[in-house]
Amino acid sequence: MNRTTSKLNTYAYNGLKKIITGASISLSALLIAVPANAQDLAEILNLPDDLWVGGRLKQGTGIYFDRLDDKSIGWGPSQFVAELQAEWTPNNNITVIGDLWLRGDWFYELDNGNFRSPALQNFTSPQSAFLDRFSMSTSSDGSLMLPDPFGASGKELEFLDDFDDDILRELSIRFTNDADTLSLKLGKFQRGWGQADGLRLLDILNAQDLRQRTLFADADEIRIPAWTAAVTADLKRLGLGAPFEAIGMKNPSLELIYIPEVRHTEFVVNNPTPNNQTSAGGFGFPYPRLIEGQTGFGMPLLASRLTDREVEDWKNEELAARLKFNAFGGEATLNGFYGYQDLPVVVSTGSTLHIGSFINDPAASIANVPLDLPTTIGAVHAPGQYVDFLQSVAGGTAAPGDFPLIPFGCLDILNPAGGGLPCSVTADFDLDYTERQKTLGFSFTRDMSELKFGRKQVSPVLRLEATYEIDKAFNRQVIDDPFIPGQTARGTPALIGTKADLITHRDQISTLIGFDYNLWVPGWNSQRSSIFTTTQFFNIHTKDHENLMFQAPYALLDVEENQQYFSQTYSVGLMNDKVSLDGLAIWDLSKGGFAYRQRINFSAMQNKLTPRIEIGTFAGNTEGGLLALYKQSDYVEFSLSYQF
Amino acid sequence: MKFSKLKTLLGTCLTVAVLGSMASTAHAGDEWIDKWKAFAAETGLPEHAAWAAEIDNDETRALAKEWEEFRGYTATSLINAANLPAELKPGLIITKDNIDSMPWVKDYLPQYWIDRLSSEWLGVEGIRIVPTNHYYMQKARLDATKELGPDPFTINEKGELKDKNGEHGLLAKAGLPFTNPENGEQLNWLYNAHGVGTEDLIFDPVDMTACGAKNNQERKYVGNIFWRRMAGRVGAAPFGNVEGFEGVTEAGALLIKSPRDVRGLAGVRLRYADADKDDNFNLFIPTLRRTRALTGTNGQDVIAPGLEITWDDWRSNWFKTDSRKFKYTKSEDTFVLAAPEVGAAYDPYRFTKNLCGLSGIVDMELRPTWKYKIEDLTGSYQYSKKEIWVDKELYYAQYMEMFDRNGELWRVWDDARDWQPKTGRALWKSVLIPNVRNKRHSVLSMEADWDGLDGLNNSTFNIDQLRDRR
Repeated sequence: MNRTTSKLNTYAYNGLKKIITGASISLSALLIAVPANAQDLAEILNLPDDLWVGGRLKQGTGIYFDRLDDKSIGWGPSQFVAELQAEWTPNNNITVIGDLWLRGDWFYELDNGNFRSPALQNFTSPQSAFLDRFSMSTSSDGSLMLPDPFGASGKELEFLDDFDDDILRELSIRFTNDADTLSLKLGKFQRGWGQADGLRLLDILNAQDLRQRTLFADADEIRIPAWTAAVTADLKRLGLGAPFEAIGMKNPSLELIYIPEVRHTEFVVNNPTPNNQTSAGGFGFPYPRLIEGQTGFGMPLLASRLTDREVEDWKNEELAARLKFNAFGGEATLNGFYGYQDLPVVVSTGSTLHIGSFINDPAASIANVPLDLPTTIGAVHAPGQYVDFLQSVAGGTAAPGDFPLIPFGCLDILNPAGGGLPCSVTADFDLDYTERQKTLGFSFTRDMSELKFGRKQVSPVLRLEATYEIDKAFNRQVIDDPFIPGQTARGTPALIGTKADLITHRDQISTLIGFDYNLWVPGWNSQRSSIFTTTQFFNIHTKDHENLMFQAPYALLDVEENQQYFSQTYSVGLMNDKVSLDGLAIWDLSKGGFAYRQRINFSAMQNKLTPRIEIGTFAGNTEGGLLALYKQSDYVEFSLSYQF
Repeated sequence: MKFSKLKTLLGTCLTVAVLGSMASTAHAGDEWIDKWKAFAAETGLPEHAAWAAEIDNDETRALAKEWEEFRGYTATSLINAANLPAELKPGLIITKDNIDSMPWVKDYLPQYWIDRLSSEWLGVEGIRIVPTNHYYMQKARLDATKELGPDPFTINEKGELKDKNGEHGLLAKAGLPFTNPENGEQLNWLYNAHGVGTEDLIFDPVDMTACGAKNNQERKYVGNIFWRRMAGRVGAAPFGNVEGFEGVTEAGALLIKSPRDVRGLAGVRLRYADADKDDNFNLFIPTLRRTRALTGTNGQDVIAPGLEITWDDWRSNWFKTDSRKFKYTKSEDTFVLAAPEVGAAYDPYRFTKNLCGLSGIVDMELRPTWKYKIEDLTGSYQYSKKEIWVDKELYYAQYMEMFDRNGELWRVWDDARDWQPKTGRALWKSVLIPNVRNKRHSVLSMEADWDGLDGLNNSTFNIDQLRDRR
């Protein structure tokens, strides 16, 4: 704590100065320019009615607390957004929308290397069964010198500045006929499906950006827009509704979607591997434990280099269709999606043997020997090789001279006095996004007006959603030993093999039942606005779930037969809505994880200036499910947004 | 102000200046027009001249006469027949300095407005009495009402309006019910049947402000509001009941354009005739990029953060008629001073530029009204009671007070319509909703898009189509 406080004092001045200066200049310019009663930029510029421009500036600064190393506090998310939007509606048949935003996070500059994340298994701790781990800095590159060699600056996330991938948020044109019964929207945009909040079942048209705020990002900010063509047809008013209405589907409308630019979910693994250093700070996925599954021993001297394997834009496409209609007193949809998985399976492609470095540093190595996939599989699984050696160490039968890298001139870790060079291995993995996603879905929402309860006799709104995903790709948690029939490899070694050995497919059925309810608190007679609450229960059923990885490369995280989540949200305005509270809680019922986000929003300057305090906290067992991955990333952020 | 309006205004000023002193050749029932012309000449204010010009035409005289013949009275005839204070006449300006000399004022001017004369919060320098207008609805609505025959409607135990065939009155008939109401329930249905005063409505834009005690603007929303009468349409196509909206009496849609963070928020609300069928209410939330069904049973939340208008308050009275939950009691007929429906020419409140204050003089006219109260029987409604002054010519509220659960005055609804004398159609110009309890208020300022009404179609009331509009 003292160390961190001292460092905070050291760096706080410069950091705060940068944030305050930047924010002050931006806001001051706007405050001077904006007339007191003007609501947005379009009004200030006195633009014609058919043209609108607006935007926002947002700057936050915060702390991470309950961190990995000493539960101390330090710089947290300090994210900024500068957004400029424009819309042009020359007539009732055409709408053109443009939206550019530049996002980033000063955290990586402010933190100065303090925020730590778990790194490789510590090869110097055989007494811990190699379960002890190095840690890495998530805001500065590592020294590559023992005892604290690892780190990644995360500079690539300081500014998300790829124009097409990050900055261009929307550029679309929508055409509609005079009767508004048929419309075509072309361009880059996002579209939401389904009824679920927070966790996605049917909202799968757009991938997610988890880099900045993980699942706590706002729904419209977490979706990654894609170049898309969407056709919407009001079948009833086009005279095509009769067949549907004959079977009880009233007011049918059809939406067809074509997405030629396939985007996948953006996330960052805090990876200490020297030739593949990446970091997303507290919102990065922690580097996975590397564990030999049969002995429970850590796998020392092993690192990993991750490469995205993607389908080619404009040559591979996603197709989707949604039929929407009224039935049973509510609104229903039938959905179909034929696209690609947003999250990857992990496929090994080979490895590199570093001769001369214990810490996988190619620059410090005398030789870096590339090993192709068959050689890599042999080096890991073959009798007498890495897994075999580790198992003999665990069983107490290993003897000096057994270390499989000795033939390459490497130091025998069971007999260091025998001499030799330090060695390590970096395994190469593809994060493979080329697996197809084939999903059929159904959603339904209905005002349950038959049920009225509470102080003001308000009805809940029911939300239902179900999807059936065909042949969803999984990494196997247990693979057949490629050399010894009848034996298996499990844990991290199950990530080394041919794709056919590693990947399997299962059908998955996901369901949601949720209720929205406007709560008027009994006895609170002066309550001005209701507390809007949502309650959701998710069940994700995977057929033949045994021995599947929930998400590779977290090799020890298994798939439940029925993975269940529960979520609860509330939002309420106070003080005549000058202050609003917004809470989101998610429980991972199956794995025991928990996450909570509390926002306190303020309104000032005719709501142009909106300060916000956001608190996020995560709990769970290590690598114990999606929520638990962030267990050492609790944060508080204060932000100021100015919209114009 | 658009050039065409300015041109009209200037032309009107000249016309009134020249003709103002000339003797009127109109017949006896038109003296309200003559009074306005004379009044405009007296004040010399262009907005008064503009209004005088709006009503000084043959179409207005003819339509006013038809309604007068149907009703058997006019506002003027009712005023003339009443024993009113001699000082209570056009041209009088009530101020804090002279109000004590007029003890009768409290019988005509609501206490809320009396308090404004000596208040910083929504304070005014004076209240000017303008000539009383003759209001009416469309000719087609009048014709439909004439066709109803004797005793066409009854009210059942739920409080529903029924025709002789047991069909819901607003779905089965286009005529106005109970034009001579005998009790609160009948008056309530007459008021409901006024609807929005036309078949269709477009505000482009509507500005909605949330204001504090120092007449400061806390928030401002800009958007569009659309409305469509879905049954008993007589004034504009599609006539009759609208296909695809069976059982629906009215549909409303709201599209927010500003501020930026809620731009694109769109809501559609369908009102069913059946007392047991709650509104269908869908909202497209731009931050979710998704449509959300909301419960139609929760009309007591404000429409947007900071505002003082709840969903149930929209159109002055949007909560559903139900005799099992509310008691409707008619009290004595009365006269009230209320903002004239002169929005076609000017805004009688004269709001400040920030739409949170009143700049000086507020115009009011004397109106003959039926008064009734709606009392909550559930013990849980936001208001324990509403008191409503319903205009005897327009069948719409001239003034309304809402009381909290402790029986204290909470909110007031006061508005000025954009009423078209030539056609009898009426939209709105502005609405003032003060929260007396907390000294805050909201102002709605509307631009009626009369020219756009012909282009309104049913897709506006489909949330999937509305969400993509800008």
